[in-house]
Amino acid sequence: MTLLRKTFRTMRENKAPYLGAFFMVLISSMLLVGMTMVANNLELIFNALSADHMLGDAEFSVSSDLNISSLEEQTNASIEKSSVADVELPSGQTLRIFAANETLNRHAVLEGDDLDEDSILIDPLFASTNDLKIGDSVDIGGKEFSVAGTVVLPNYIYVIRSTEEMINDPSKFGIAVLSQSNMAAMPGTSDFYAVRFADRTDIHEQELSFRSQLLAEGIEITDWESTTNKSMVTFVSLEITTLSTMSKVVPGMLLILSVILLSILLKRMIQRETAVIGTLYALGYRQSELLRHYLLFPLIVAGTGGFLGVLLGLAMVSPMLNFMLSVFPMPVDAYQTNYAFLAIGLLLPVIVLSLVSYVVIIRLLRVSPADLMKGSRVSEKTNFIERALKLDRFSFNTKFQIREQVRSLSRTGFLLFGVIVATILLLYGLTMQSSLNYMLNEGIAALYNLKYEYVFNDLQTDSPPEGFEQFNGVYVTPDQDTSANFAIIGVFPQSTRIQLKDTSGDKLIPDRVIITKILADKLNVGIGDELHVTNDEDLKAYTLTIEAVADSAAGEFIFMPFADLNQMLDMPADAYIGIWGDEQMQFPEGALSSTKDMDAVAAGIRNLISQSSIMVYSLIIMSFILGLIIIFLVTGLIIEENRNTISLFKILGYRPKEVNKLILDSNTIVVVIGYLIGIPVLLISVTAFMQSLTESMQMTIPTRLNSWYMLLGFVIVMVTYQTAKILSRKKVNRIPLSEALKAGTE
Amino acid sequence: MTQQPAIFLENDEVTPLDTIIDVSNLKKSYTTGEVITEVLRGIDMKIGRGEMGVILGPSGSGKTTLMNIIGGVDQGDSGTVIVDGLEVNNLGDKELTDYRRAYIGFVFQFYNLVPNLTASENIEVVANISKSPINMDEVLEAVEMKDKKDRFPRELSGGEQQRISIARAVVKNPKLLLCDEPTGALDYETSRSILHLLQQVNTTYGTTILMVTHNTAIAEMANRVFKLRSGEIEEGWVNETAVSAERIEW
Ligand SMILES: Nc1ncnc2c1ncn2[C@@H]1O[C@H](COP(=O)(O)OP(=O)(O)OP(=O)(O)O)[C@@H](O)[C@H]1O
Ligand SMILES: [Mg+2]
Repeated sequence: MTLLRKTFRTMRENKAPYLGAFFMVLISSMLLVGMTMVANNLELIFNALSADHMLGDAEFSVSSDLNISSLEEQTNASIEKSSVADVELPSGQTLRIFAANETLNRHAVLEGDDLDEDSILIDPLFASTNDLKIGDSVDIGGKEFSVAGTVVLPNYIYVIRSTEEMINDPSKFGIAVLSQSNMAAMPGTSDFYAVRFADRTDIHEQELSFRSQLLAEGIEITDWESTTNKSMVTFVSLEITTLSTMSKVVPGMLLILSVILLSILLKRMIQRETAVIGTLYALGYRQSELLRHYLLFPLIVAGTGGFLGVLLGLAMVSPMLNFMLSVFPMPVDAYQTNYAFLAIGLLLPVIVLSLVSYVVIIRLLRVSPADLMKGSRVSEKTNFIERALKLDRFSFNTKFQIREQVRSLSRTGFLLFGVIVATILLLYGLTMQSSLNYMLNEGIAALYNLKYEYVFNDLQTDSPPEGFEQFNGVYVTPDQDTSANFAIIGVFPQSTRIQLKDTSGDKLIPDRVIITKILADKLNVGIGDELHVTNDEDLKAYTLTIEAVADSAAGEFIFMPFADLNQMLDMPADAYIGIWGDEQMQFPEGALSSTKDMDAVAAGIRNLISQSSIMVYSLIIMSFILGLIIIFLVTGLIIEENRNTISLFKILGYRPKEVNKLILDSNTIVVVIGYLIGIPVLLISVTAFMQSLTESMQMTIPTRLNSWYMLLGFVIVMVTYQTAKILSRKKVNRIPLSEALKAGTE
Repeated sequence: MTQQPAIFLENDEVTPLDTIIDVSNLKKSYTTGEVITEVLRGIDMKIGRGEMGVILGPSGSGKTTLMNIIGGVDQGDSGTVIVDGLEVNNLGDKELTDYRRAYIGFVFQFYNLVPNLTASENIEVVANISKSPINMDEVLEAVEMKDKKDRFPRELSGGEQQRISIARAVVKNPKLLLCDEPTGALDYETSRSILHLLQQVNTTYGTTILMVTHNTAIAEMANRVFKLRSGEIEEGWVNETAVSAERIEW
């Protein structure tokens, strides 16, 4: 009981570090519980929607009608024909309307009633943004429909016009569902098929054999889109993955920080209490009793921090999930409280902290009681680095500061790791923005000298419109990585629309096989290497020999001479699939398979950049606070450990400024090193994250951190450090001269 | 005004030719709660340049308090303390720091070395802030610690640590060396060698030394002795025949 009282008194006397550890545990548990539960529930909801409403595995268009039932039997799949139309509302927005399917990609009503022949269902974000309420009427191509309710389609959860757009804009674009008969009566619809395989494993293989089957039957596939490549669906999985990764990484780092911090505190406390421990031993206390006493510290910190963290985590699940569901609207049929995560959030810090503390305490208490009572301080040895240091050539200040850092390696480690974590948080968002900017300016703008790209449904052989340049292209999948499909583009060697540079910055003329660096890195190929690929359309195999690498950040492409590509594909020499130019063109209905407005693409990226600003700023503030706490705690520890030295220096005639410099500036080098280590660690992790994005985004963002941001990060880190130093200065100044005068007398 | 003991008045006539410490009517009291403790009740003392002075007295008599005021780490309530012409007792914090830095060398009973600095680095602590420090090797030689200069304090014996602590005080060639019970934690033989070392410092560098001790035997090596009791100089005398530390026994 007395020991328990002592525990609380000790904690009260050392408020700052124990509070620091407590908050780190708390935030760690909160994020762990909150974010994993949100990710988990989002996944549950998404999986339920996919399964209950039969999300298709792919969507495709063909040149002629399919015999659905025989094909279903042959391929063990469900197939449904559907139709879609883009309709402009009188108020100017575009509504993409789908026919209500019966088997695949069935719509889910979120609010209101299901469809009938006079009504329409609209996506909730579009409805709320444009102030459409249930019962309102909407004019679709001259016919009035009343809004029956809001809807989500499992194959169109994230409502964006096209993959390039990336950011949704519900004030301009939305989706809706109409009954099949209403769709049939509507002009300008186009048909497509959806397929879902009964066997839920090896989907990609099944897709390939499904397509071979179609080819074998002489059916030409004009368009094929795997659901795994469809941003409208994959963005949800992307969000889930991001959330669940973050929910492990950030709390993990905070937990490590709090473990190191508590170990330092325990070690210091036990060393200071050597004599007391000796006396307690002499009085007949057992080691296990002392161990229990010291274990109370991590238990209290981890227990209270973990408990409150779990509660706060639970509280944040619902608002966070609702926010997610406003962007990715899905019906919530089941909400699961995952008790395993609650237990982990509660127990993980307790277990980790007490385990590490146990090891630390046991090691420290291993000194014999006799030695303890003699007053020999517990394991306060000179460590091997301190001994090995040869510092003769340095000035005294440098020597002192180096010794100060080396003296307590765990403290230095804590500071170093803390600065690395803060640096990563600080620069994470800035790197994302910088990468997007780089892709926009150095990538897209540098590669394409054009405003519009039109891709046709069928091969063209007529001469292109005035001012336009034709190109041909084919999507292929490399044999070495079936998830990495990319385009081979055939361009004229004298092309003015595509501008390539080699890695040393010199102009590259597309008169040979050129791979973009980003793709070369991904496939790990270089000049002279052979690349085996399969045509995504007809599944024919080709082998290419790489002749040059282009330093383009615009995407994953292979460029080759137009004529060579046509020859390889066995097409007429003048056949092309698309054109590039500067003017907007009108083509007959159904002629185009895609249109790319480069300004819109750029606007999409800029939109993404500006939308991420809030995240970037909050990360900066978070890392500033975290950095401040860590540096403040470390300087606090240094001051505590050096009370006697500080007092002595004052007696010996050191001026306050000089004492501050000696004691507080010793961290400078560690902070700088931490920042410098933080940058590559950050770039590696962002690159890994970008790679995972590629799979769901259909584009590769090269990781770049521009030097201004690096400098900005450095300035912020140093400002944080200086702030912590200023806060600590008072502590140094408060230490009285008597501290050293009385040393040894107690 | 406190009455001064007759014997002191007698000795006061033997005023040093070149006074370096001149304390007059110094008073100091501590208030703890309701209780006021008068620790120094009107101290008068003078020490000449290059002399070795010793303050004797029982525990609690105010020896340390007096030393601390002379050393500029504490301040008296009234009276004057003049050290080498400088009135110390009414300096502000900043001036006191400069005073300690320029004038005073300290040797403590419990050495007070910085634990994570080597022996020679501990000496550098002071060399680092003095205008014209004595050569490091010379100081290490003088305290006979050259061979152990790279050791850490906890790897040194008490006597060795005190040698380093003396070297640290001497390296800046202070005007005044203040030693509070420098042998208080040491055994007989070691104590004698430390006292011998202090005497050497006194003769070699001409440093004025003021030493606090409760060991009367040590007074034999001093030029001037002050006996403190309850915050007053009970007795003070000039020792014309100061003996070598090696000849002291107790
Ligand atoms: N900070 C303080 N607050 C209150 N009283 C104090 C303080 N410092 C010293 N004293 C009192 O002043 C008196 C003199 O103390 P001082 O340390 O000068 O004695 P001393 O002669 O050096 O004794 P010792 O030989 O034991 O070191 C003592 O009675 C002590 O209790
Ligand atoms: Mg004393």
